[in-house]
Amino acid sequence: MADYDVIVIGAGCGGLSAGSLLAKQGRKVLVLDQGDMLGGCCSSFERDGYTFDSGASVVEVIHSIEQVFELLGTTLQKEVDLIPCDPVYSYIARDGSRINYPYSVEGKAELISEISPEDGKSWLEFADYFKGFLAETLKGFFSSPMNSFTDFAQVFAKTPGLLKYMPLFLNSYQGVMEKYFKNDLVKQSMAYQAEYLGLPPELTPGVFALLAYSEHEGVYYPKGGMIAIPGALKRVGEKLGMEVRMNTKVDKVIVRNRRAEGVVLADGTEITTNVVVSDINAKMLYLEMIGEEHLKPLSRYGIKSYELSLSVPMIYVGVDYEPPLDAHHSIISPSMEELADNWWNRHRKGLMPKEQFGLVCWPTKSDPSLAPKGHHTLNIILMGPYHLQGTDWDKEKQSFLEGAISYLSDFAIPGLADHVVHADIATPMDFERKLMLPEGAIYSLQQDLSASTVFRVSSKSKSIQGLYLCGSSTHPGGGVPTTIASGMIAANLIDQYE
Amino acid sequence: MCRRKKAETETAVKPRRRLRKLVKIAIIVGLVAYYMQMDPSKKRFFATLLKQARFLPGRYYA
Repeated sequence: MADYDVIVIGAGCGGLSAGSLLAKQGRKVLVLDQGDMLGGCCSSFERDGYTFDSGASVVEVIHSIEQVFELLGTTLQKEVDLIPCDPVYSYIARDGSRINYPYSVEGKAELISEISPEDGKSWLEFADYFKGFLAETLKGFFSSPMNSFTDFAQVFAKTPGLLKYMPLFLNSYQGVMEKYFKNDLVKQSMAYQAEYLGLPPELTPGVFALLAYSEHEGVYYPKGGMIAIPGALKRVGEKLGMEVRMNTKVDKVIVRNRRAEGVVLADGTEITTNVVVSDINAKMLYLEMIGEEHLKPLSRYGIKSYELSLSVPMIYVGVDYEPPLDAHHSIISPSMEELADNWWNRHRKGLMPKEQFGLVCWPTKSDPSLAPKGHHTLNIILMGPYHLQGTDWDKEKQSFLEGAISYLSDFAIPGLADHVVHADIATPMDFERKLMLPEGAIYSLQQDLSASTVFRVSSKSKSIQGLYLCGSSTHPGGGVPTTIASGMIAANLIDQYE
Repeated sequence: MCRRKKAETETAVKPRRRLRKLVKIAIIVGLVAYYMQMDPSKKRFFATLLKQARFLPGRYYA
């Protein structure tokens, strides 16, 4: 008899979602994580009295999260105190001028109309179009498995309204934005969202132009930091009998006769199980923890072919003043053309951007309890490839940190450099070491069309019986609500097949 | 008689085959022309996707 019914590798949001739902099914579940950061990229930690978020900074499109908590017999609102963020973000131009986009769609239209009346009208059409698209996708696209063309067809059969949006699949994010908007500043102010997928707008599939609208259905910050969400999943799961062991590294998945039968820990302990759920990077799982000899030839070829997603350096700053920002999120972004130029001519060649761009997150705007009184925290996500030409992140981290603070002080956050009390950086190499993310890939695998839906790693392994996957390597992909949805998909498949 | 029927059938089939060939060529030429008039950004989008096409069978089984 196996030690457990299910072992989950990885206590990220996907793993905790799957684990708690499987515990609700009455299964004996053990969740193992190699580190001490519950939630992985969706976590928080404390330093010098400041609480910083490790990666994810807000949640939006929370329907999947609500669905999981309802299946667990509670509600998201009961378990997590979500603070709405309004403005949804502040766009900061290089000259320091700002556009603060409100939660209200009409409010944003008014703001855009001041820049370009034509684009103001187009924004309302854009919002209306993507409101419809989002409503259709929420009927099943995010919560259904996509392991086969049959699954794919079933989703469209259940939601035929999605067919109207097929042209988005044949266009890029940039193409969609250019179709609706003509003014350069307006386009520039909505360009960065493509980078949430880890690709520049010209390579990001057009369906993700949804992100420029979805913020207006609500952006939230959990009180206490992003760790509140995985913390709630753990708490609810443990009440249902789920066991979580942190600082317990899994070295290998035991596979016999193409069936997953357990795991071997780093200290050599073997734990047997009927089912293994993986919440870690699929390439690492299959190629290192399982071994490619266990994979069917075509599967092996497919797994090896995936490109890893973007990696980013994250800067954590504690300051003793109120930063002169206007929103929880501030975006600094060049034009879509410059983002493309950076991708092809710098990022892929191991070079930093000519001028930095990224996201400044101000969590204490929403939750002042994350810093001592009168102090504030900032989590700053900038750009920088994992492989640096002629150097590496361990050598560059200090100068990068200092350079970034100085750069942002110049135009985006005046006074920043004079008010730093605590400053630290997590480089792509740190993400790799601490969170076992290969090359610091925060979204796991690159998410263009060739690595989406049926072409993304299957939630039910096609090579190994009793092996299921969740997290950002699988459908629906990277992001907090999507990884939580992936856990739900894995749990449903296990309910169906095991 | 049979030879005449065969000859008549062949005469009818040849234009159909030619037409099908012309249609295929027209589609390919049309797609190439469509691709050529795309802006560089869109060309890179499709070119990047096409480069990944060879991985699709493997990724479907991943």
